[in-house]
Amino acid sequence: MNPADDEATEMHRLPFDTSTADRFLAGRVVPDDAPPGLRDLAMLIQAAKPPASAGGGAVEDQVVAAFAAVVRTPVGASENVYEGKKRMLTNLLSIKVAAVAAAVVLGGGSAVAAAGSLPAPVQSVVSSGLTHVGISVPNPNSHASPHASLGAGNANSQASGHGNSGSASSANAYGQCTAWAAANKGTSTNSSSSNAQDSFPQLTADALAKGYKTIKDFCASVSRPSTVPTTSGSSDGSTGSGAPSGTPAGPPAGTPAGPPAGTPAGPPASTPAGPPAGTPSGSRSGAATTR
Amino acid sequence: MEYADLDAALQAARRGDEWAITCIFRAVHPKLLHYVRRHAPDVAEDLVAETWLAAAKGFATFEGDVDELRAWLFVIARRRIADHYRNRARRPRLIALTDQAPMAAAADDQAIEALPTDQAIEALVRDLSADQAEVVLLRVVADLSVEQVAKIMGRSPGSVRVLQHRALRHLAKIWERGAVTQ
Repeated sequence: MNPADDEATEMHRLPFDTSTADRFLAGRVVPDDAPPGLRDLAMLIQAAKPPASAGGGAVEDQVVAAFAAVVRTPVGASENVYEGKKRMLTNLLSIKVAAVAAAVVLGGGSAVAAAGSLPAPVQSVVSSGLTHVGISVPNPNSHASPHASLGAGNANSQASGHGNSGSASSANAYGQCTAWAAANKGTSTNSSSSNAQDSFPQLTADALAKGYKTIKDFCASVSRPSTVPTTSGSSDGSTGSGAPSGTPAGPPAGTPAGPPAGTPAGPPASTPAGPPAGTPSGSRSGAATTR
Repeated sequence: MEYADLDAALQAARRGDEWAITCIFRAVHPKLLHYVRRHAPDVAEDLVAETWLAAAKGFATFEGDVDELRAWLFVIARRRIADHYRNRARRPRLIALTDQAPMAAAADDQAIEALPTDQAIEALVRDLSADQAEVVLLRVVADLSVEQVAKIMGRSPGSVRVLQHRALRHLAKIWERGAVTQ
């Protein structure tokens, strides 16, 4: 059977047309508007859409820092930086127990961490990680308050920072708002929006702390942070692409002034782009392999 | 703030600006992680971190927009998964993450809404064929277009549409309210 020839036949067997099928899979069908009998499926698809990250955490910090370091490195020297950062990340990821501990804390075991009674190394990592999301728990390496607290501790500074990359709360707020906006892209109403909103507790707290009733209103007030000038000399010309037109805050001083690089052209040929080349023999087709 | 701002962030990310990389990371990383976790749960974090670093390595010559960047990251992730199983000389597989995902008959609105993402994904693809499951994962979890999925899977867009329709038809049969009884 030729799948392409059979396509039209397949469409007719479904209770909705191709366009609706696409919107279904994109999670853009509001359950209440779904075809008869398919409300649950619409809900399930929306529930299966990963919300954007609320941010924070050691893994994000390390991956972003490593990514930036590799990007800033001149092409000729990137291999050493890449290998070094890869090793660093591997070491970081070996402490997955911290993530598990954080999940325990956020999932209902907060009293354990709040009391500072986790094993010291785990307590330290959890404390550090939760600080990024506005939750304070004791850190055995510091003399912080022993009481866990939820708050919008950095809400006051988020709109006034100067984009000190990686740590500035303004960048954090801007990043969260961008992620929130991405999470709500194409969703018109309720379910997914509330789902996404639930995924941004710090953003919600920040918005409330600032007197805004909705994240949308709050984010509208957050300006894009000024960018951090990259290390002088780190741009070899191949990475400098200038500021995009319509950028809210304009490019940072010293940014290469050229236009954005060309038209979208897909993955570069010299990188791991393209379909995976090999398939382990006997593998199930389509399951993480290519054919 | 619009989704298009991620394209602006992408331009800044080319300079190595960490705030911009953070924006992109937060938008794409969860999709990558859930997708990889479905295929290789025990090493998902490692493979996704490697994916980001591999992308960083080729970032200087990348010229696409955010949608293309996302597709490219999934291409890299798929390759990392294939490499992982090749190195282990094991067959890749779709792994049931949990037995807790609800059956359609037992699910109600609140149960579905409250499902963690991993369990919702599991409930969505566990009864599908491998090809159908992969299409659904890339369409739903990765949020890729039919054309992007076709390119990644080495199929024609028409073939992908057939697979997704078969998947939807199967899912519709399972999840149609009242169609399944205890």
